[in-house]
Amino acid sequence: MSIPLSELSRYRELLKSITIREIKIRYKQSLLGIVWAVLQPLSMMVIFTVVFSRFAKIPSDGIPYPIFSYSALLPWSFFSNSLSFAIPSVVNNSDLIRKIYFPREIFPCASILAASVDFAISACMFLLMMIYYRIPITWNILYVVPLVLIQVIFTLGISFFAAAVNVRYRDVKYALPLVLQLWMYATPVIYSVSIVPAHLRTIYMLNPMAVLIDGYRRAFLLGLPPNFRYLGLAAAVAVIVFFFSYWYFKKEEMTFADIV
Amino acid sequence: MSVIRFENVSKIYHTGSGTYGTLRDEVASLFRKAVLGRSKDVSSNDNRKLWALRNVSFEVEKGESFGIVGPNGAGKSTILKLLAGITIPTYGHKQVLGRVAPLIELGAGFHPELTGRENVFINGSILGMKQDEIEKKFDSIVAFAELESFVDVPLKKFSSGMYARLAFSVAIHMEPDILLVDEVLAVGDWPFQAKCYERMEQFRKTGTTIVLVSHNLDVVRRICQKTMLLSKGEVKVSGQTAQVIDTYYELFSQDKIGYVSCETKAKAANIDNVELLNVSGKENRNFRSGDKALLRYYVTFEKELDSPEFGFFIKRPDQVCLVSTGSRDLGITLDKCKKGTRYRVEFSFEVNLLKGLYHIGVEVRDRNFRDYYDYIDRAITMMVQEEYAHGGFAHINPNCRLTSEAEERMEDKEF
Repeated sequence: MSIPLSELSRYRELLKSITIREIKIRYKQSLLGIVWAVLQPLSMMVIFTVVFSRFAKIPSDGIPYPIFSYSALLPWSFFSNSLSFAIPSVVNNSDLIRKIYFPREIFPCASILAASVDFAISACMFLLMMIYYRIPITWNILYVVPLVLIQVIFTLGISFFAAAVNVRYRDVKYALPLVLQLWMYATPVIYSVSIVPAHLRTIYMLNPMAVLIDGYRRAFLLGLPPNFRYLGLAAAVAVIVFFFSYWYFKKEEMTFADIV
Repeated sequence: MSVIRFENVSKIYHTGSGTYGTLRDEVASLFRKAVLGRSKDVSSNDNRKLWALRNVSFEVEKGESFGIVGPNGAGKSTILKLLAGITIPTYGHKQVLGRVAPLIELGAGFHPELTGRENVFINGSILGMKQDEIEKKFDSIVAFAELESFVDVPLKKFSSGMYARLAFSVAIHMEPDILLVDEVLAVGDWPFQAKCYERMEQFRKTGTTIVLVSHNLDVVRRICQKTMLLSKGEVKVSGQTAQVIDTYYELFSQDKIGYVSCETKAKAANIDNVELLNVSGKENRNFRSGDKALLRYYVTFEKELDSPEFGFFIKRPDQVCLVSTGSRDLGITLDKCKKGTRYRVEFSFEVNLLKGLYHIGVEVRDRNFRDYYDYIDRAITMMVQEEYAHGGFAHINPNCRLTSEAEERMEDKEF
């Protein structure tokens, strides 16, 4: 496991190039371009607000529902966009894989980096909303650093594994949208963690995304630190998933060119 | 010092399902295993193994240029893939020292939506060049490709020739220790190709190790000191280029390497007994430039057909057609043929070709080239000996005379 880091730094420039390529081609020949990065979570927010707040009257811990849902949609979109780009990335770059050797994890990494640009842009929108809703800012927002870090590790973990499996079984590609949809409902995006029954809470919090999104909300909207027990759990799950799936990815890597 | 070393390298590809399939197949096979108590039967499993390489060993010294030749499917590309580190051997051991530039597939990572400039940077870094290295060489890259006025145009607006030129130009601007070259030199127009060869020569002179895979034996002869002949994944012979190429000619003039008969849609005739005879009427495959030859075959018609035509063609191993002619071109026509009739077809011709290997194909078709009643792409492989030219393939019986100006004046006086 000491090889990956040194290899990654050797190929840092390549990672940069491929990330830039991803970003550039994503919005080429689209009229609105990068505006889509904000438009997507924003329109979801509007829909959710109308359907779940106005019609279904889902409680939102006393926070205005638009920013309540946007605070979750933001990291969730980062997560789901990352997976949607990273998981097929190895197969999509089959041309390159059959031609030239370099560490294949560059593709999922580049996809996630590219998605993080969208994340950063839509985060600016979030800050504007915080000002608009006059949400008091506390030092607790600094918890965003460990939260994002854990999220990236977890996202990388899922991506490596699923991307490698996708090379062999294209079923992954078809299952992914469905899984993401279900996963969103298992994560407090639309609703608050407080409506999850207490006896199910521990199982519920085994999902690192649930912990993270709850953490973001507490830090930004409620001015509270995250629940450290759950955060530790999420970090542990993320790290375990990451190492297992990186090991699997490297094991499968040499066969990619033969079967992709 | 050898920079490339292969020791008993074998590569097996599994062509059946399970390598690339859907989960469903896998589940189905698990089910079979559990319920029927057997996995896929062993024999069918074996059939799915394709030995792309079998016990291949060779070494390439630093600074050497090494050619790999052989018919299609011999395993040449697999060796390049192994050298490039894209795939690993199933058995055996390989060692490659130094920075490898794969000129195997050009334009890796090129994206049509991005401009020439952007693509040069991405492609360069995929090939392992540093950003500042690319910046330094950028002008030279664009100049070599002759695309100065197109650098900021999206690649999708490029012609395929421009695309290839740009790709090639990036690739040769890296400073590799080992250069892998596939059939890629067939890009661009003739002057560009000449430039590419020149550049290869430069690489050779500066001590870059070159591994060249080509069907064009002329190129191999020109560039490589040593060559290896592969056939069906095994090394047939390896050594000095001239000898290896001679062996190649000999081996493949003896047996029919490809007797590719086509399943034509309109198959209404059968060609058989294709023979190539020399002047004394004996079957022969080896000719000298300028010899006379007779090609003979029989055609049985299975349908009644209107004015069928008989033809033959000669191709180089790289599929370039040197001549294609037929009965009608030669002033022979047949109005109608009845079902079941059988004809003997004979073409005599002069072997005005230079040293090399040539495939002769035969065909029966309608007069408009619409329906091929039957054809055999490589019915006979012919070998031509004798060489007075250092390249090309046309035997034109040339002569050379050299006269100084003084001698010329003398001659003038005499007359």
